[in-house]
Amino acid sequence: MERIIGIDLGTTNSLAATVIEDGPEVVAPSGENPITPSVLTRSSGNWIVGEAAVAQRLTAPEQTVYSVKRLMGRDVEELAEEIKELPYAVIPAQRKLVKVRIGTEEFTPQELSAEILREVKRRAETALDETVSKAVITVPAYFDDAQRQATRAAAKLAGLEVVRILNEPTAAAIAYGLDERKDGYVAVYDLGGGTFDLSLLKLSGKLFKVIATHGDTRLGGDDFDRELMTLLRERLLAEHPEVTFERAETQQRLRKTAEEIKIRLSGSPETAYTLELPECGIMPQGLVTQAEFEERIAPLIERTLASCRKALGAAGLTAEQMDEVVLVGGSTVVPGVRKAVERFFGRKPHVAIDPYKVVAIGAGIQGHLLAGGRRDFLLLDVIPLALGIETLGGTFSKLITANTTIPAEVAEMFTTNVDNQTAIDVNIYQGERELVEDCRNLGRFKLRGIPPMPAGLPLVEVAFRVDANGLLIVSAKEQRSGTAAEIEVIPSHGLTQSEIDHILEESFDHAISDFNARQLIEFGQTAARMFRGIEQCWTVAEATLSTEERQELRTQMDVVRSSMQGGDAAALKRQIDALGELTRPLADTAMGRAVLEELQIAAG
Amino acid sequence: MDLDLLEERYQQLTVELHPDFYANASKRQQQQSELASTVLNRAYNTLRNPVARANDLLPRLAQGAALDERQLPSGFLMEMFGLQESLDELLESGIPEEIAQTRTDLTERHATLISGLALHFAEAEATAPPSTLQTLQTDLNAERYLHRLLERFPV
Amino acid sequence: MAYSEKVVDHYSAPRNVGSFMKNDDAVGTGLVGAPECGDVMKLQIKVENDQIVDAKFKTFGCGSAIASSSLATEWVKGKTLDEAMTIRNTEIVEELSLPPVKIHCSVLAEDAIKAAIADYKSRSAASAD
Ligand code: FES
Repeated sequence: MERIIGIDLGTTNSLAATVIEDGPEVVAPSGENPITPSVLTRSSGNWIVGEAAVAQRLTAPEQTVYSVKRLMGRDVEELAEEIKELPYAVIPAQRKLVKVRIGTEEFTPQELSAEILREVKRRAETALDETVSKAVITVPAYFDDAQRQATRAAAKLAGLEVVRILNEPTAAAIAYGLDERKDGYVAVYDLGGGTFDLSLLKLSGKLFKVIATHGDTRLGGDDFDRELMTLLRERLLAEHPEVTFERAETQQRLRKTAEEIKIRLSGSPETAYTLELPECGIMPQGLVTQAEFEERIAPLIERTLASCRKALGAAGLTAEQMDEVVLVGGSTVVPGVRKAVERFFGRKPHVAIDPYKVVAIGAGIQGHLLAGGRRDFLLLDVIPLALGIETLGGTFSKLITANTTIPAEVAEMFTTNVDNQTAIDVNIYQGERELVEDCRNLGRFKLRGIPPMPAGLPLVEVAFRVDANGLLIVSAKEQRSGTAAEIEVIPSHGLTQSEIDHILEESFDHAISDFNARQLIEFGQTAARMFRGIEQCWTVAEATLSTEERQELRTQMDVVRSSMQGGDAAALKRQIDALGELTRPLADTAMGRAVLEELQIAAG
Repeated sequence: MDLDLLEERYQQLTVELHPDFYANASKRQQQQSELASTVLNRAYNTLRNPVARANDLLPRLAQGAALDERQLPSGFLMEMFGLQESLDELLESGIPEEIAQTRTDLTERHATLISGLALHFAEAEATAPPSTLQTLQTDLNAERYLHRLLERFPV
Repeated sequence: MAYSEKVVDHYSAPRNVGSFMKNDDAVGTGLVGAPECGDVMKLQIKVENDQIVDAKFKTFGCGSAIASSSLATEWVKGKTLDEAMTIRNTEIVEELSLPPVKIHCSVLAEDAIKAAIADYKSRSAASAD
């Protein structure tokens, strides 16, 4: 049975989970934090992803990319607000794509997400000690087709086969449902770093059925940070009207302080802060109370509750009918959010499963099921937004309505306007509004190969199918002649197949040097840790090792150091291993072991 | 229509057919399961919705007998047109209480019509007099106009 | 779907929207509905000496229905009642290049013309008595 891991590809954090003998677990190399921050930084032509990149947000803001999920499947116009606040450059690209520009290089959001996925994959592989090539990847339930396609493209670029695109709240519901095994209605309130979803499910026996979902793909904890940043900025300007916020650095310091305040306010009613702004030569201090913070974010929370009302309305249910409310996503640890949710549903929310991990765990379980590992539950999901076509006067005509259980299919007839016309253009949209201009254009479908006939005579049946991933597939057949009309999908926001292939080809060329570069960085970190460990237990070394042995150790340390300057990762690894060998007698003593274990050095 | 039984059967079938359980099967089996699930979902949605169910059922009951698909209760069209016109004004005026009231009234009327369908069907299945079938058809015709009116209210 | 410019034009700037006094003897009113979708349309003609001198409509329905009725009012103007009776929905479909799913919307317009003429005739017959 080939393993299918679950990956929660988040706006701020990403992580992987899978089912091992003891059950579902998040996976990470032993002793390491399972969470990979969704941050990546470009340094001399290579990517550094995760924890190591986080610090670069302050020191190299223009080269450090975060919140890339917000860019997925969206265009410059839609992103106008976001772009203003991002320290890195986002530029328009072909069709409706955007790219991130770093120095002279340009990257699509798909490529950037692929780097994050690659890192998550790599860490999972290290932890499991096997290669991973298949995954269930989660997306916000309210992601539209373009955003789902973009996610799939990213995975492909990262060398992962996406067996299923799974909605985040649904993934959480799987984890919850299997944990509790209670029948009834469950509301999953999922507030992440950049997106919000509310899904209503009915659990009955082994069936977990989504009945309605609603959300906002541009609302999350990032917005809470932004509110705090505004507060800090206001206060700062009151005292120091001369300060400007043009510098990316200043912005990032504000952001970092805001994030810290937010985190501390989850645990205490008020918190003091110091805003370090060396570039402005000031260091203002202050105090933020939970009440102040809650007042600021109240309108944002209200937006989430409006989504809750819409989903309940669509399902014909009331808040009181919910048997359980499950909180998911890092932003639900904010006390103001919990209070609001409790008030709205009139019950204490369920928080037994870690809101940071529950989505990945659910995805890991679903992966296990898809791999054939279990058959004890089945998840039925819905399409979040109606799918349809443009009809007269720019009106949107829905073919598949929101909250339809997937897989689903609807067929529609088309014909020609002109004699001997052999192709028809159909514009596909997704959304809930009346006019196409308020919906997302997913692409143009060109029906070709219609046999020449007088106008109006050909009858082309176009089938719009939404598969179990929530992805749209279109096929067509001309009824009179029986020929299958060809359909070419021209995605408005996504990458075409040939573009994906091209990037893959290029990245293959880079793969070897990228791999070497990443290894160099990692081995360098390992070596630094070892040096620290050896220095710390040098007294032990003096007691246990002979003078020659100590000398040998010192020499080997120098060899490692000079090897770190070179460009050969494999050579560095060999020298590090040799050094590890020499520290073995140290590790055999109690004190040495304690120090080395503390520093997570795999001695020997 | 026993909705509980429908639910139960749907659950049984969907567990048998769903693509999730065929992710490792051959391409052909995967496609078949995807197709079967799609058909199942469509059938379930038709059966669960009383109007869709009635629209599906009526031609079968009529067995080819011609029913007048345009017939409406007398004066109905006039009334609908009047309602559409006054709804124009009402929605423009934006008085929430009045809008809500009109909506409640129409929703009730719509619901009454739909619950009436079930009774007529019971009758039609037992004896199948053509007149009952036509009554059903007329009601179903009228339902669309009411439905259209209800669609105009903002969510 | 590429709609012809004519449809878009009739849809975005429909001609002859409005009403005549219903009980004017010179006016014939046709009120019809589309059972397919529940849309309703009212089309009125003003007649002088068997000739249609003016027409107005009001449609609660889709864009194609609005465009069809707009076109129908333009076409009937200046025609005699008999000539107007010969207007077919297929001509509307052709003129506006309506897709198959929208054929019934043009049927609505044809029916409305017929209903308006019938209404006018029955009224004038009644007033002649
Ligand atoms: S859809 Fe109702 S008249 Fe066109």
